[in-house]
Amino acid sequence: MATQDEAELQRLLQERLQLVDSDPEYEGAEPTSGDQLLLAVVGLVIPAILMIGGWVLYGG
Amino acid sequence: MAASQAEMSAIHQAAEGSWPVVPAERNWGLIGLFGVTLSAGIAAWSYSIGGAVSWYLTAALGTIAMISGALVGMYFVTLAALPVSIKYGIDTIAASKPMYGSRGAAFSIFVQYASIIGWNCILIILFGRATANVLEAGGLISADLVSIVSIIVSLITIAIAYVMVIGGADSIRNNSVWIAVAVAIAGGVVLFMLVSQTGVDTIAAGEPAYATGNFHLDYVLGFEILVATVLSWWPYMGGIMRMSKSVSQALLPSMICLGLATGVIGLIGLYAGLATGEPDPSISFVQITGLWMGLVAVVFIGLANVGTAIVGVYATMIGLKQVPYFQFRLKWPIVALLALGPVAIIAAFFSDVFMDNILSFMYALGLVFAPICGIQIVDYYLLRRQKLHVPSLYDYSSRGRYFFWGGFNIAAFVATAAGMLFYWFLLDPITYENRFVVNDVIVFQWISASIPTVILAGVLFWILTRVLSIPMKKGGYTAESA
Repeated sequence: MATQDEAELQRLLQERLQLVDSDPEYEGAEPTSGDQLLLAVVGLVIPAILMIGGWVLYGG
Repeated sequence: MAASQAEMSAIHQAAEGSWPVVPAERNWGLIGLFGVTLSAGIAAWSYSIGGAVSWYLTAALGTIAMISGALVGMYFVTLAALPVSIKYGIDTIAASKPMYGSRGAAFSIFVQYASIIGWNCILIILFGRATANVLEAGGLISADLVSIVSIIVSLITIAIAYVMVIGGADSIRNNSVWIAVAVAIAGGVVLFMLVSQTGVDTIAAGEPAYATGNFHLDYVLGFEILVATVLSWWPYMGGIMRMSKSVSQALLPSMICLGLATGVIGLIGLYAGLATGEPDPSISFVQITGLWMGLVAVVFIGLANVGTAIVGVYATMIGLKQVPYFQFRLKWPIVALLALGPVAIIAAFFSDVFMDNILSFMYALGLVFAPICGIQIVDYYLLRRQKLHVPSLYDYSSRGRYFFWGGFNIAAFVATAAGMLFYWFLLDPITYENRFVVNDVIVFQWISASIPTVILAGVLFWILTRVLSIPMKKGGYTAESA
């Protein structure tokens, strides 16, 4: 039973990989410079401003 | 019979869940993506995260540190795990094979397993304690029974979770929206009662219980709690985000709904901790709401925590089933036992020890996940130039590009170990000691721990790959950069 299922899963996986291989649209777009910039602003610049603001306001 | 059906369903979900999703199947729009990420991001453990921050920081500084830390932690997870998952439609575990090796990726499954066990301990012990505290407040049990009742409630909760997951819990993972609603309502009730009873001034004036008195150190300790805990989103990013159509579409849901939401919901735990002087939300929430509203809060905390825990257990079981060796050899009830057994042992025998060291668990997440993120960023962007060989992600033989040395990439494991050691040097998660001191200045208070660990692990991995893996033609680097 387990061997049968294992073989079935292998077959389905190979089908899926063939589908991926034959699909010219498969690979999605890479992040653009704008995406990287937005991510850096939200994830690094804003937190840095907040942390420095907290330090200036309450650290003295 | 049910267990057998559940098992086959899980095996298929685990196997197929790790397979690449083709563009036609990536059908989540922006609204759908916001809904799914928000329901995942609003989780009950955020209360404990906020409670932990109340040890070090006042309301104003804690708010700033929590929001900032959540965004920074999510930045590294998003940068490391999101683009690769969206480009190839793969989950994070599959995406970790190019760096850890086709078999070494089991490490990713292990860290997912360990982190979920930790979070589930928090959720289930917290619920047991909240229930016992309400029963004591209502005079139904005496103070000396609180501990034992809390353990009994925790164990009953674990037993319920076990029965639900072995019976075929396919639908559970689809109920995350209702769990998020329960968490938000529980938090809303506590916040309303908190503000109406104690007032904003009391919260603002609340003093942190364990502040060191060193402003910079306390500030960065609070910040680091959020960075470290948010980094533990790493194993889940791919599974959620690969259904998105583009990176541009997924960036803000990731940063706002997973990262920022953890910080914002956690603020309730911070304010409750400061107003009552009790960082444990299971105690502070009941103190704030009183007996009757406390009962209501406990019901919602119960729904939220148990629901979140079951979803976590299910995700862990699916993760364990992705290990090829476990897929057909380990029965579904045994996998459930592996996911819940450690939680039951900790809840029964070590609940006080665990909850007293909750902060150690949170910092340990940073110690583990920071090097992983650093290595993945360097591997995917700098070494592989954002190109993977998809068939090799599912090829465990030596023919696959990610076989490295017997299926394990030594460079990645050495860099991970070095990163962990560096984190420990900056901030020991167990003793909270800062060993990196220059001219009597604690280096951690200026650079934190997770951020430099991401950088160090990444740089070391780049060097090792350049001097070891690439010259020895391991890992398919030359083929992918060609």
